[in-house]
Amino acid sequence: MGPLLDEFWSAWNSLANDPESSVTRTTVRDRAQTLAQSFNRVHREFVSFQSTVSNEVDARVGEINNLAAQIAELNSVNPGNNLDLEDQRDRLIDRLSELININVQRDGDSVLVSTTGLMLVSGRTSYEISMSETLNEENIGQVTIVISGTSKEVNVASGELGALLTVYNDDIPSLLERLDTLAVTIVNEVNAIHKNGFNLNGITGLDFFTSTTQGAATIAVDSTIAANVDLIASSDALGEPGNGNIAKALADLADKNVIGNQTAGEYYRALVGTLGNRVQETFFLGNNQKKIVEHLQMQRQSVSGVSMEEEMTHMVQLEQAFTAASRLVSAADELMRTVLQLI
Amino acid sequence: MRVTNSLIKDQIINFLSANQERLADVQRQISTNKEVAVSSDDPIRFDRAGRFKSLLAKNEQYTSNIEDGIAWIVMGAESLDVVYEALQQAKVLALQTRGDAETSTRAQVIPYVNALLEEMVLLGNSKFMGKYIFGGTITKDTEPFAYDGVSVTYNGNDGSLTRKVGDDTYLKINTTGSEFLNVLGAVMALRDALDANDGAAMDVAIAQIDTVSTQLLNTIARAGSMQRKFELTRDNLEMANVNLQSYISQAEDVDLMEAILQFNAQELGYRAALESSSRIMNISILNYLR
Repeated sequence: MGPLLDEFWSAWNSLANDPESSVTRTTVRDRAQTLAQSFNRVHREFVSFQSTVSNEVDARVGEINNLAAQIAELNSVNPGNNLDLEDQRDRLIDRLSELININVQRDGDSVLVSTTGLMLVSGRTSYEISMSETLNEENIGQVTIVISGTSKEVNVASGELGALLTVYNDDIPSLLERLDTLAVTIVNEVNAIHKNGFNLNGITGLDFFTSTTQGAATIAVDSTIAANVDLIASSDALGEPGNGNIAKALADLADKNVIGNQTAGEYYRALVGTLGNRVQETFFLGNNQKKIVEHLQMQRQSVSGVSMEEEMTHMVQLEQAFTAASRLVSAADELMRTVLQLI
Repeated sequence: MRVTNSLIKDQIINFLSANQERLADVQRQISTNKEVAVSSDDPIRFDRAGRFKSLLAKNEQYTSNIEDGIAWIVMGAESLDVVYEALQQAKVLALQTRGDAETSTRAQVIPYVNALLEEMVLLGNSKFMGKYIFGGTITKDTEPFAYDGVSVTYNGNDGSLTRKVGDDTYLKINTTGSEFLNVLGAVMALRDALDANDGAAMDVAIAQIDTVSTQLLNTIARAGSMQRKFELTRDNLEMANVNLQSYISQAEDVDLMEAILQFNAQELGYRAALESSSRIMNISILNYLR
């Protein structure tokens, strides 16, 4: 979208050079439409990504409920006497801990599983969680996780579910808000100047972008202007077709600090930069975390894993002990036989 | 540390996939020729490249404004040159018929003077790309000069046309008709003197023609210096663009030599990892026990 923004300002500059020409007017309209549509498209992509994330959240919630139910089931069959069942329960807890931050306590033969103070599994009972989706004041979706049938909110801090919630509730909304700010600022700034101008038909006071624009989703070139490019205002005085002062002022907006102390282009690049930083940081942290997990897994393997060398050596040793024992038996047998022959 | 079979297996998988990832990364850099393709590759360099690209796009617009401006100035200056020549012809006609020349000779040159006047009006109404060049900002629909056979009126204004050639720099490109309305006035004075057959008035008209000639030459010279200013700015911009392009390349392009060396090193590492993995996987105590 960066180049599209540059092209948009550049089109006004061409119009300032040649305000009488319908070619430069058409270029302004087309580039403005391309810019508006790309705002719409980026917004749509973010929103559809957000809904993909919400599906993922839903799937994770289902899996967590499923795992909790299975753990409760295994609690009820008293696995203390059955190593296989206990292994199976450990595996379920492993997977559960990948999904959500949990706390596990042993209680005799059964386990208690809780998350941020709320019980998920207690003895033979499991408690279901569910997601609820609401819209915030900016009309952007927010998801919360509650214990089903109650209003007790689960404060999911980590795990796959935690990550998905952060993306859904924080990352995407903050990008969308900044995109909206950019779109609304461009609309307001352009309209404010455009309204003061006169078009080829001598009309003044028209909006260039739809004045009701709420954000990136709704930004569009005003429909009357889109239909007739002669209505684009370029002059700041009536009856001067060669006067391009309004177009000039609009082209100059490219270098004006319209959002805080940033130009529209700088604001957009900062947005992309923030996103890039987030991604880079996430990869970095992800790699670190992966290394830590790998290390812990190795230590675990080192303790609980099977070494073929050890086992085989051990087996050979046992084999030899067995051979030795057999020898002892056959020696005793021979002794016995010798004794018996004496009779 | 106690080494177990599954530990070795996990380690091999981790090492191989890490190697492969690095290899794929360098490969992508080489085949796209970009070290920084998306923001997350290096946000700072990506931003720098973006800023330079934006500057470059702006400069290209300025360059095309300049080309347009120069064409406009040249067109105006050429028309003014022709006006100047016509003015000199009028002066020659005046000099031939001044003083005690015959009345009939004076009457003979009147049509010539009239023709010159009409030519000047026509030049004053010259168009470039469908626009009147001497009408100020009234470039369409209304002709700058209206001539009713007796007098000339200027219907344009004094609005200046400019081209943006830098962030805060606008250069003027037009000469308005009012700047040479006096030229037409001087020729009309000559015509009136000829009509009246008034020798004294003719002397006044000739003096007037001399004055406006100098003024017109100044106007033409100013157009020349405007053109020069545009050309200098264009040269500066072109130089800046070459620099910008190299900055963009520095910010996002890959150092191919370094990347290829790195690729070779990674490839070697990957091969070694594969080779050693396949060996270690084949070694088992089972091969030695019978």
